[in-house]
Amino acid sequence: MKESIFDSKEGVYMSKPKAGTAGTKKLGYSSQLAFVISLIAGSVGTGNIWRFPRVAAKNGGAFMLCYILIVFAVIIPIMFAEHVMGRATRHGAPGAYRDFIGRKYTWMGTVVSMIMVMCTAYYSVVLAWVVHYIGLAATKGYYNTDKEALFTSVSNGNGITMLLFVGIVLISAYVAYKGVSGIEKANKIFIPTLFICLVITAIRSLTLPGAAVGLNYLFSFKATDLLNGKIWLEALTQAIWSAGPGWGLVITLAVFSNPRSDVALTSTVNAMGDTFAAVLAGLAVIPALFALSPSPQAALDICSQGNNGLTFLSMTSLFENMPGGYLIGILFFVSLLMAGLSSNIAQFVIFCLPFGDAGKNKKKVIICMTLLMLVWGAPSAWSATFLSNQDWVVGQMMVIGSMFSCFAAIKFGTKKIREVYLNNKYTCMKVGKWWEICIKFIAPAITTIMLVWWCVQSLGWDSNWWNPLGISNLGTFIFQGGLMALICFLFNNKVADSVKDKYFKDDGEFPEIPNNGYSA
Amino acid sequence: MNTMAIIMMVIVLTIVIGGFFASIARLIIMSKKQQKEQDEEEAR
Repeated sequence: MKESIFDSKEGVYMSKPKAGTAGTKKLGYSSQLAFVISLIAGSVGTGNIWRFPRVAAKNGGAFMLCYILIVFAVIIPIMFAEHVMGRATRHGAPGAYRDFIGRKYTWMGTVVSMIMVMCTAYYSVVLAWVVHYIGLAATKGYYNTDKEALFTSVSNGNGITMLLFVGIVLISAYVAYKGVSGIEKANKIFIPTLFICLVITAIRSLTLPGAAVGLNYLFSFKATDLLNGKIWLEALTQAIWSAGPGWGLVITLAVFSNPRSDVALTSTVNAMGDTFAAVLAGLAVIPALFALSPSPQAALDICSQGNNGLTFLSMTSLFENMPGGYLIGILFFVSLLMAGLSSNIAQFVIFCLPFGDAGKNKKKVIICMTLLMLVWGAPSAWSATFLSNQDWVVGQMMVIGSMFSCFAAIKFGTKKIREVYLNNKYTCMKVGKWWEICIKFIAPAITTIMLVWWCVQSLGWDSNWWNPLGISNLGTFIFQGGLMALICFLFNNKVADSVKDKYFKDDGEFPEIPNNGYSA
Repeated sequence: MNTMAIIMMVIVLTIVIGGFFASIARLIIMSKKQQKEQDEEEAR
């Protein structure tokens, strides 16, 4: 059953009933607001809560300005392009690349889906750590203990973490199996809970004596910092890894969007929602960190420790010592879980949808992908070092995914996308020529500079930078990323042929939402 | 807090929070308008 009809009364697409059956099923999101919430839920992840605050505090107000400019010049333009790709083709990433820019580029979409397979496997482990810490926060398990030893025991060879990892994978798979309606229901719980937890934590943090010192670091501004290339690169890195262009997230979720909704407006709400969550997390974490640290320098040192250092070592120390820290500790880890779980579910749909496009049975696909996640994620659940390796490779591959999106927009024709798809009869937010400049020149240039910069930086981290079995070096990135790209390239035609239907008409009209198994 | 940090905080929060709520409000208004137009079309 592939056809669908538009129900003007409900404003949604309905699948045509099967012969001999009564009633219809809703296709796509129940409303535009539900669609936008799903986009925000997919974008807002742990990166907003544990990475943004520490990077922002280190770099101050100039970082904030650079971040906002990059969101408008790079993130939003790429999201516009990905949104059009998903909605115009009504396929997951491989099918979207095939129909949008040609069969020989299908491998690019396959790479994007593969990145998400790799990412979800270890991301589920991070969420297992978070659930473990919710338990520790509730039972005061991290009080009066060596925080570093505790984190090492949670993240290495811990049976409870392994069980929690299995649970996270199963929950994510179950909600993804339920399709769009399942995602909507889950996000109705996750997103309000996330924002409520963050707001309560931010209020408590801002009312601590000495919180103003943290705000000073977060927003202090020196005009000369705007000429500091490192701050721009930090802002770009954070924006790409947080908002999620290049993951296939927007392509995938746009498949289920109403053809009458405004592409530019919904993408802007998505990017602004992600930035809002990040700034809120900054207000929740940084004032408390500075208020409770012995000195501002000690707080800045904590910010330099990395994500795990901040979240699982330093924040737990703060919660132990701050007034009301018991409740705030629980709320902080719950907000991390809500942010991460909503992204994890969306990621599951990203790599399962291409199989739906190929007409594969949804139940079998979900079971197979769940098993794959368990097998691929198990080494990360057992060893934090393995997880670091996967995190490093995925981080770089996401930048390449963003470059693929820019390439697709340029190959298809940015002028055509803007005039025909972005500024159509349903548009209320007109997109000017600035978008073409951003997607053709600014976004590709900046993402390329960032990738090269990170690769050059990585040469200094490891003298054996060429070693393909290294943890976070250039050799392992080239080996794993190259192998992934090669496999996708070799199977290009097979994947292209597997995508059964073609909905893309290239006439400026967005096709109806197909019933691909995940859209109801 | 120094004056520059306060000014910066006001600017950032205005853009981020204001931008988010303004864009979401616009989206809701547009959705309702589209729904109304569809209902009117249906009635005709």
